[in-house]
Amino acid sequence: MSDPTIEVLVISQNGWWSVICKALEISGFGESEEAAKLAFERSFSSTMLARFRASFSQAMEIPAQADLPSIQGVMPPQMVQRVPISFGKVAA
Amino acid sequence: MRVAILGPPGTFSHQACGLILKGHTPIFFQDFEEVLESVTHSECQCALTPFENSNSLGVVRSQMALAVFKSQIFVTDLFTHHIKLNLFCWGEDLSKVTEVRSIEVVFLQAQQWLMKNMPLAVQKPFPSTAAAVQSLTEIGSTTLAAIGSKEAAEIPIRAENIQTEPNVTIFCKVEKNPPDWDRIDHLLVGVDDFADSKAELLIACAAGFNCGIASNWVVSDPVRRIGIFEMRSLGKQIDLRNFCAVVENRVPNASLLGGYANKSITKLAHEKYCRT
Repeated sequence: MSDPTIEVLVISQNGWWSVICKALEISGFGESEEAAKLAFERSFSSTMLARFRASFSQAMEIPAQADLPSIQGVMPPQMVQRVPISFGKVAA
Repeated sequence: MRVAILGPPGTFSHQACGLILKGHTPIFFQDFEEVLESVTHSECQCALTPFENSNSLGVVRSQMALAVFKSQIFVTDLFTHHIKLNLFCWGEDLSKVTEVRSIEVVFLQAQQWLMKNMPLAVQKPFPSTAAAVQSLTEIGSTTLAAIGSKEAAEIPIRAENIQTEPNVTIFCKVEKNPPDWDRIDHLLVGVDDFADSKAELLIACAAGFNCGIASNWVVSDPVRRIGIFEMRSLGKQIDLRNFCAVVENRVPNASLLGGYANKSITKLAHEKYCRT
């Protein structure tokens, strides 16, 4: 089973927020923390759904739910806040 | 080639144009809507506009202007430019400065330096950095300062590199012709009157084409609220032209804002903004 967590960076700069996952090459940006997290959630859902459907149609094999990563916020020291983002729809 | 940019001469758009689109002729306009409108009328062959900055993030006025001219102009390429801020002032004693002038986003890019060195100075917004610096020329006051590029005016620079690093702006090249469908692997889609239900429709369309959202922004002004989505193909040989047609058909108020290859706003932001 693959590592069921991914790292996201949550950056707050001058009232603007970014939530970034370098490993998946996705992010969300917004004027508030909540807006940026929602935007990230859209990118995440979309990417996971597209990959799921592609793997389903190509291999006719449905990935186990446990193989879909849950999200756990991990921030380097310069980031403003530790985030546990809970993505209920996709969390294992 | 005539390149539309935010003026007057000496703005960071002008500086970026000289580096990115060397040898072409910059044509200056007063605001981002005028910049982009000049491309729709074929007055200029392309435009160079900022999309976002690592410190101030969304250049909202520019992003909104892209949505205003949807389906008439398209983002076809992306570039990054390192923004180095300089403080101009006739006086040598910066403790006497009571007012600092610049475009609003620059105050965010220099916030740390300003808090440390000029915490009491009033920050007065101007339409552009160059306009702010050039406003000092006629006055000659030693209590006024302005922040801009080195090329903005022949006024003494009292402090260099006052930006908070990294200070990188992502610029878009905007053209009248749609992107080259055979070459691109990313799309930029705008959704007017944005609502979450429209995002769900877009996500469903994308999944059907093996496409995903790489990044998205929701920006608003008093008049409108738009969502901007950078979509990428997650596999080879995806018919992005057909995907775009499906999105425009199924997602209300969705329209193509651009398409480009081998680079994306998401990747550039990850490379330039993340310090780890």
